[in-house]
Amino acid sequence: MTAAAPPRGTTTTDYAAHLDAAHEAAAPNAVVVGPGGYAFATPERLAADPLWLSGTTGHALRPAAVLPVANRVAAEFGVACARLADPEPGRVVGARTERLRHHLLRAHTRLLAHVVDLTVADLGGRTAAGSPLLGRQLVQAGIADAVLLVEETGGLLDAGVDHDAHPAAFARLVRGGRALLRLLGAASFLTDGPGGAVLTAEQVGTLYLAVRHD
Amino acid sequence: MTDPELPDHLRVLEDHCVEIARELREPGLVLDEDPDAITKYLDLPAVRLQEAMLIPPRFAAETYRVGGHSFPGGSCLARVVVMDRLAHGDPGVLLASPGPSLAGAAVQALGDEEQQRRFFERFSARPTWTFFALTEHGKGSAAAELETRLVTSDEGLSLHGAKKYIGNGARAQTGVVFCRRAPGPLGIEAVLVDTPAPGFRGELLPIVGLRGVRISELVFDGQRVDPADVLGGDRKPSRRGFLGARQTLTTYRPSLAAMAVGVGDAVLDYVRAERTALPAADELRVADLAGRVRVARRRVREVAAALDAGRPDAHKTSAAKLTATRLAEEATLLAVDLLGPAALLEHPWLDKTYRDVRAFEFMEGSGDVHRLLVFQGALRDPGGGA
Repeated sequence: MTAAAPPRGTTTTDYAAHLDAAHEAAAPNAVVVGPGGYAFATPERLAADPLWLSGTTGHALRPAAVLPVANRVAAEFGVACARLADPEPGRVVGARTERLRHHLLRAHTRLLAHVVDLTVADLGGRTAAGSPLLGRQLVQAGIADAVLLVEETGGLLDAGVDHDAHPAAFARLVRGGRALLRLLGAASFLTDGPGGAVLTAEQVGTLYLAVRHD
Repeated sequence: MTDPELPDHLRVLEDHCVEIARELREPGLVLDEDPDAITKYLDLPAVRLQEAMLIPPRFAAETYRVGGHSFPGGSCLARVVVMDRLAHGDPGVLLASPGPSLAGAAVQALGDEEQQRRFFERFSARPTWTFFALTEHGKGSAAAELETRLVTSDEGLSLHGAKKYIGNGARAQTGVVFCRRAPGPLGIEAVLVDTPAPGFRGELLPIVGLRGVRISELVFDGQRVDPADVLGGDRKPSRRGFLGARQTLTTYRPSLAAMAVGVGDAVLDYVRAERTALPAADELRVADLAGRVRVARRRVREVAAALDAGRPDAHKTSAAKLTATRLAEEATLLAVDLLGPAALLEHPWLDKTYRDVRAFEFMEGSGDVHRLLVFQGALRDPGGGA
């Protein structure tokens, strides 16, 4: 994989910037359009007359209209969804749409790494029955599993994982992310917290990463 | 399909619930957009039935009747049949509806006759929402850890502290608050409070799913408590607040597990309806999960029947709750996998359910709490009773 990595230092709020960087990695000023004519990006990028790019065929697309699709949780993190109405295929663009998927996996992985940090910080200040929660083996094991997932996925991406493996990697991130969030209890169900950010990454990933796009 | 192992009258009830659950789909989607819209649906049979299941017969103005059978509240088995089949329609509508909910279970576990009468009779008069305020941020639902204080002064009793992640907290007219009058587990009390009231503030929390439940943060800044509203005030401390919290959760967990079973079932039915021709391998995945859901349903009904028989089993209840909640989540992940990458965008009900089911994990004790209880059960019954 030769494409530039998305910006480092993911937090729950800058997933949106990484998403735009993923589109940019596919082609300058592009927004990659997924199955059904749907696309996720920042509202600014969607509104900036981008190069609409089919994620399945690599054609530029000319839509009759671009329709907003409401998404309350994603909006909390600066991510919007749109649907292209009656898109007509144009020229084939020399785009690398697999780079979008690579970058999305990277952004999702970094998001989980950040949630690991948040979890350690949150649980580090909590006690149960007079002892620190972080002293509990069940909690330690849960955090360790998340760290292993982040390490492994990062390693696969560094090695230039074949894009056929993207769906499986995404599925592992979804399940691992949910297991990690459980450590935060009900706080992970808040829209404006790490649970909302991870759900946003799941929604975006489901569109772009859940199946092969070749 | 009706469970052939149920008594005849509960099979009638189950069939009825399957029928009326269909009316909940649309309201469920509406509540996801506007949680306050529940007031438009108070006449739905499902809304009235879920409330009736939680009101002791002696306080009910009328009994819910189906096909010549009457269904008074109080039976856990009847309740799990109802919650399972109605949740197939939408769990959010059930949880957003007026009724005694968990607070009612606490009042039944701890309250004297007069306290129960005052609490339950109000449901006959008007739609009344309730809350069960146990959880505190950073403490979860561990009753022994709670910090909200019940303070005695020359002016009487008052509440001080905060509760978080409380269902219907900012909408309710009354609720049960668990608080601490003295250090240690014996210093815990449960008190009835009415809201709004001076010294009380309830704020909605933004949540990703089950939005009709209106999860709230409650702040008690000196709210007055009438001594007559201390639940079980005439009991010994060992038979009061702490015990009540445990009894309440044990009583209500099968209902929550039943809702998760119903939702898991609903998701699989949705997949079958949307994808009538699945590849054989995918058919097997659906069939495998459907089989696990059926087993989970049986387990939930077993723990409910044991509870009705006066033999509650906390370990098996935890196993049932944990299994059911994880299956519901598995079902949504499988559905998205089978319906394709645009599934969450083109199937609004699936999108909502995909978000909703994660709430079951945190309600009435987190998954890890239940895993530990399952472990303790394995120590008690080597082999897990399999």
